[in-house]
Amino acid sequence: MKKRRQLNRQGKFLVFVLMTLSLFFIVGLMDSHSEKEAHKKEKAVPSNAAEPLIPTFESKEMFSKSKLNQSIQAKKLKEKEESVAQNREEQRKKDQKDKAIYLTFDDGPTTHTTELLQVLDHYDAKATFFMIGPNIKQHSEVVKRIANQGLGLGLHGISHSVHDIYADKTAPTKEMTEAQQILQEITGIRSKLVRLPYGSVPYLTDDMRYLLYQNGFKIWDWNVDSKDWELGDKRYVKQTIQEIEKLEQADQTPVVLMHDRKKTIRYLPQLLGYLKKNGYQTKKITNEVPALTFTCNGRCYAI
Amino acid sequence: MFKELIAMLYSMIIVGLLLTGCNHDEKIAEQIYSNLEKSAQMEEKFAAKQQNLSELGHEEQAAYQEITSLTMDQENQVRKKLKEAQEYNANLKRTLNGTKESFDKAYRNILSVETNMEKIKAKEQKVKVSKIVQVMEKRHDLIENYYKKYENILKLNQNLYTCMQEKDINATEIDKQIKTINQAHTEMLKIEEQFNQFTAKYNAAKKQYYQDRAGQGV
Repeated sequence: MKKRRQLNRQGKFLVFVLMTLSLFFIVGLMDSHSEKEAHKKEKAVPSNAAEPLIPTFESKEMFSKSKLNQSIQAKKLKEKEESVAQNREEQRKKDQKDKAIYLTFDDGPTTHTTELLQVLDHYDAKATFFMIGPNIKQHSEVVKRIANQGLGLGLHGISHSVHDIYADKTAPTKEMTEAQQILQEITGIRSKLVRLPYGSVPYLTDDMRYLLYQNGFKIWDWNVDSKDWELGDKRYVKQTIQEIEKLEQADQTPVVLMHDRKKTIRYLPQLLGYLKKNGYQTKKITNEVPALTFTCNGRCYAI
Repeated sequence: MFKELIAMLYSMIIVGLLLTGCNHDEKIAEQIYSNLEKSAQMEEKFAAKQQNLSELGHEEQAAYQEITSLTMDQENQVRKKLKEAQEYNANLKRTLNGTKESFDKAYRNILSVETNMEKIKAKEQKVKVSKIVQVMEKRHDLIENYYKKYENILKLNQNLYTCMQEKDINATEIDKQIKTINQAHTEMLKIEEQFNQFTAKYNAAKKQYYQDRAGQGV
């Protein structure tokens, strides 16, 4: 009994020691746990939030609308006009020797063009036709005759409407390119000669001129307005002769504006008779002849 | 009495083991936390470089505007500014590479989180970490695409300034190039917007994880 009591005491002591150790262990764990808890609370919110992307680029404005481009165009246009003026002076000297005159007919071909060709042929006269695209299609046989008769072929656009052909900076080039293709399909000839409806001043702006030049077109205006459209009868012949004589005195080569219309053709023999009598040589315009173009000089504006 | 004491001892051992189990998840969480913080530091560098990119981009844009507002009478000034714009563009390219690198490092740190994630025993914590990784993956895909477009714009810019130095400037051709640049820019803006949405989600996922971790004590 005595021995058993001693063992119980040892057992109790052992249990006491184990319990004390376990208690230290648990308290230690709990202490460490609560330390980490506190630490975690500090980290409850991420220290660095990721930032969004910052836009880097902005859209660029179109170059064609820039001041720089406008100044480049103006410079190129000036250079082109100066070069044409120089070439025209050389041409003028040659033309003066021949006493040349350039007759031009706009708005054709029409149902009267055949008669016009007969008159020209009768006087052995050369001329140039600035024709409208749809008319070229409609009177394709006459156009072939014009080409075969060795006369000049030029373009007068498609619409003949101020609101269409001057609608925006690309419109004149578009219309002339379309007319050029129509003419080429019918005659096989690629003409670069263009005459703008109502002339290049005031509606053909610098932008439009620049684009036409970029596309290789040569812009032809005139220095003699026959006013055949306005006068409507033989008075246009007198008007034209007066203008030609003025130019002759100024040593200039006449480029005469007329229209492919019945009344003009009716009185044309009078004019051709005068020219023949006075020793003028009618010439056709080709891609190689330097163009007579009105310069804007601040007069041009967009419609 | 002795039996009761033995039972008490067992209970204490079980509690001890449970606490040790929690301690295992805690160690993993510490590693995850460390990776998240490293990634966040890289993101800070990334943001700073983005700021540099933005400033350089504005300089390049300002140079273009200045060039186009000059005239041919100021040809020397035009040439000088064209050179400047090209330098800004080249600098953008260099800064872009550095920016890309910072993001890639941030991304790689999150990929390390993915490895530790598998070892987490607490399911809810695992889901939260997985969300962070998924959103980062999406951000990574978007930024890769964004940088491709960015590099393309820099190439287009370079071509633009080369064309503008030609003697016979073709305005139609330059306009075409600008149109392409502006289109690419619009596409970039869309990606930028998407990326920013995912960045907000990423920050939210991180915040959620940190808060839960603090609340649950794991």
